[in-house]
Amino acid sequence: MDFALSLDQKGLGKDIQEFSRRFLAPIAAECDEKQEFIPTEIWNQMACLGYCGLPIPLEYGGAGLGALDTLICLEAAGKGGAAAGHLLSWAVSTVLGSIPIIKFGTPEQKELYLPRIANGELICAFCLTEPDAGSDAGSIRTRAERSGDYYVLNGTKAFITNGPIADLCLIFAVTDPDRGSEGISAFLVESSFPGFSRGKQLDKMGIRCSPTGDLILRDCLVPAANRLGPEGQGFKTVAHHTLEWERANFSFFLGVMEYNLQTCIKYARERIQFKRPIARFQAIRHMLAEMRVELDAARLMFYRIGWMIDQGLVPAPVQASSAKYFLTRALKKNADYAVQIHGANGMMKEYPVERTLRDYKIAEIGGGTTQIQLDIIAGNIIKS
Amino acid sequence: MIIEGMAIVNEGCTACGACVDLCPVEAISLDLDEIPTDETDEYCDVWVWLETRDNRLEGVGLELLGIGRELADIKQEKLVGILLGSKLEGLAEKAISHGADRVWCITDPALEHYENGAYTAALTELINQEKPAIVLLGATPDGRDLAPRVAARLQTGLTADCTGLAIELETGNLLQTRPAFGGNIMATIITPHHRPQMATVRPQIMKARPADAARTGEILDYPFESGAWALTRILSQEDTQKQVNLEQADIIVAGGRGADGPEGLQLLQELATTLGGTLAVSRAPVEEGWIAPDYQVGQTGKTVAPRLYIACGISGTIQHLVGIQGADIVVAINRDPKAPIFQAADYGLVGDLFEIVPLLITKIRKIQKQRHQ
Amino acid sequence: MRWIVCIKQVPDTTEIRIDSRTNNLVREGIASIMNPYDCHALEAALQLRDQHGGQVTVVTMGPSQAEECLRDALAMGADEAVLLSDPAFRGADTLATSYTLAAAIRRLAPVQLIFCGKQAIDGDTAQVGPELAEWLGLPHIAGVEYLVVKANNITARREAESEYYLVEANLPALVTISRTMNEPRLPSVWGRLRANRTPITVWTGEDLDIDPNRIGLAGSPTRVKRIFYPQHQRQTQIRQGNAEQLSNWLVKTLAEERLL
Repeated sequence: MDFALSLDQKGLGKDIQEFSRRFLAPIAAECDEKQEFIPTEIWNQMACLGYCGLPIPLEYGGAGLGALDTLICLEAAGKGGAAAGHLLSWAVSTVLGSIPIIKFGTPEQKELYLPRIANGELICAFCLTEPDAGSDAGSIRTRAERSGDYYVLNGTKAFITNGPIADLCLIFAVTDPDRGSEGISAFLVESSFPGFSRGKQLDKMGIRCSPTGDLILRDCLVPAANRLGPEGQGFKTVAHHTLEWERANFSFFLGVMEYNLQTCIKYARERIQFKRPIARFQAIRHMLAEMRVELDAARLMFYRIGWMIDQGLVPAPVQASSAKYFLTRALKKNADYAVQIHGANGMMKEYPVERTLRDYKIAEIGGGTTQIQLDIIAGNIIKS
Repeated sequence: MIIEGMAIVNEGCTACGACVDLCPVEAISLDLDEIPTDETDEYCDVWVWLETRDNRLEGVGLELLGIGRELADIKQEKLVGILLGSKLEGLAEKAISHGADRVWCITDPALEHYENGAYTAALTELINQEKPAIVLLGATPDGRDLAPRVAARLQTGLTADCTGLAIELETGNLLQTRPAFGGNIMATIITPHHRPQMATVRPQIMKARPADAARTGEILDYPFESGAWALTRILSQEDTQKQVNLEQADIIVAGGRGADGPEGLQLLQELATTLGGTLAVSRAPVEEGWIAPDYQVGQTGKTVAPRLYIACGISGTIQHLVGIQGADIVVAINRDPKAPIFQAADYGLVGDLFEIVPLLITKIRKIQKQRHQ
Repeated sequence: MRWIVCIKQVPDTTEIRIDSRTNNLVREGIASIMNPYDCHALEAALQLRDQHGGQVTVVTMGPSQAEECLRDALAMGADEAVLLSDPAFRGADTLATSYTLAAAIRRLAPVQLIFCGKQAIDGDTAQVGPELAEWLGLPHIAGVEYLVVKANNITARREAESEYYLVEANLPALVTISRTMNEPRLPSVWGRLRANRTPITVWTGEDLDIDPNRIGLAGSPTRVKRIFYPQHQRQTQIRQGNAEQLSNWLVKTLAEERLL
């Protein structure tokens, strides 16, 4: 067993953290206030540096990184002080947008889409959730009916990360209503396809830098060639085999926690109460120590998931759900303590810790709620 | 190297000798092959390059004459000024009135503007002929361009940007003290076996002596065709439109990383304007791109000597502090009571500049208003 | 065509603090970085290579850990990297350092243009560039913030005390680069991965045509006599309290000092 990071991982982490510090951290507060995504100019720069195609193979213009390398990159961006919302949108587009195509796409689909994801031209969305199908994702109702060389899609997708800005949406729709979750197929839907429209951008309490909205499909015409994977395998295969990646994607929050912890250590050293830095008080010291311990544990669980994907040791639902469950818990405490250590200052918008206390909630809800993670873990361990 | 008071000798050792001084039981020794002493005795006198601009003496030259006079007196040697230029009338007399015993002049149209090839050749020629023990140049852009070129040609040692010079009495060596390691520590450098001992000296640190018209000295011309030695060609010269003149400012309000961005600096500018002063910064705001490098005070920026220096949100690395040694009164405002700036300040306010500075502006304006009434 | 960039690994001096109790440098966890001035020098060289072709070779002298900053340079886009590493190089001052670099650059000949950072943030001497030019017998222009390269010469703008000079020099030449010249690029993911797979050339003293008396400590005319922490002479009065109290105190004090 080797816990050392490779030369690549160290170098990439250093570079991306520096990028985040220089370009993403300074815009975080304002974008949070205005609910804005990364400005085009910075997004294009990210694409030039390879950040929009981290896991995309080299032959398609990506960086060709494995899972562990990719999640270390996401983490590094968090360490640099970027807004969690920006990182969520980036991770969803870059990772969840590309992995299903890499794994299940036809050569034509790969050729058509992967290079444009990698070069930043396409922002992607992963569209499973519907107004009446959240945790119970198998109960979606969006319909896809075959008509010649096309499928005709009708329905609404809800709370879609990148919904308001996505150019390419992976949409899950029912092709055979009689077969339950085995009647669901996946489609690569471009926002320019006829019948595709968007709801308005939603006003959220947290991850405000990540645009969220509904997608409305009214007789949306999708070429049959844009079906991803075999008919009926959208949920059972495409969505399921992306699960580990979906969980691992949250690794940017490891970086956010690290950034918070460092911010708190600095603040605790400088803030004077009762004539001494508050870092001298046990109450504060123990909070900092807890933050560190839980971050470390969450990090190790995430690195293991990355490693398992790279080793082909998937599906690994227990390990993946455990990692996400634990990260969420650690993050909640991290965000809470960070504000607590900052006292009244911590509630002020000018301190980044305030944002994290609003942002952390997405981790408990998005990508499978905490309760669903526990269900998955319990189901697997009791069964075996 | 010394880390946390402990000597660590490893691959990074630069044989600086700090560990030898530190060891209480003399367990560490530095086994250096002593280079055979060359004829250092042959070399005597203290030389000062008198930098000129538009045929006028730069202030730093007079400062060098001030410290040079002290060194020459200790060594009981002559203080010699070197003038290179195209028109030098009256400058040598001025140098003598400020302490020089002798002035060498090389007058040549090729020396009208500073050009490193011609200047190096001229100065090296003169040094090789006259063999001075010490050569001092101002740590100005031109001085720091010329000195290394000359030192390498003479294959002698050079110490950059000194803030202190003294003579070691036992050896007669020049003790050259300068900030090192990003200005966090001071190092005293010697050039034991090579002559001349060369140093550039930070402007604004040494004091010029008042002019004494009664002083007399020797003025010598040295004929030298320097033009043939030019390495570069000066195509044009243009004055920089410098908005900031920190060196001359009477009151300076300076911001550091704690200013937190351009808006913070704007607030400090307002305080500076209220006080009739100038805004300055430490290194961090320049590196963060909040402001142009012209505003930077410290080791890599300007050395200032105002009557009042208010440091806001500046932690006070020595790299910064060397730039404000000459300030009469230093006020520090910082949230961190352990910030080193407080040790270098006359008055320290432990608190948030964003709370204190606006109050200061209001209160000072109120006082100013009362005075006007 | 070969563009040489001399770089140096330095401690990140902006991170250095002094322990107020022991008065020692706190060096724990201080990262080693490529000297920031050298990043600008490298950027200048990369831009010229992209414009005129040729290859960028980075050279550093230092212990084996200095490989890290060569990797950073390769990640930014340099084509090859040379590490000059030999225990005999230790303790070199600027004269011995520039002598050693000169020997390495002679081995890399023919060379078009040599770039150095204007100075390094640890030593701040700004001497190695001009001294290197002197050893090589080349013209140099220091503190360059604008540079045009033509077939046989360069034109550069250098900032002096209160004016700019537009200076021309024949090639080959050496320039030291000011931080205002450009904005150094960040390494791309591909650049970083390529850098980690590029072999680094390591030369010891035996690989270079050098006089052993001119390298390392033996070849250094200067010696560090003493290292100490600066003493501050001021009698500091420190106040804590709320902003109202503090501002009142300061305004009163400044009025007493007749500074208002």
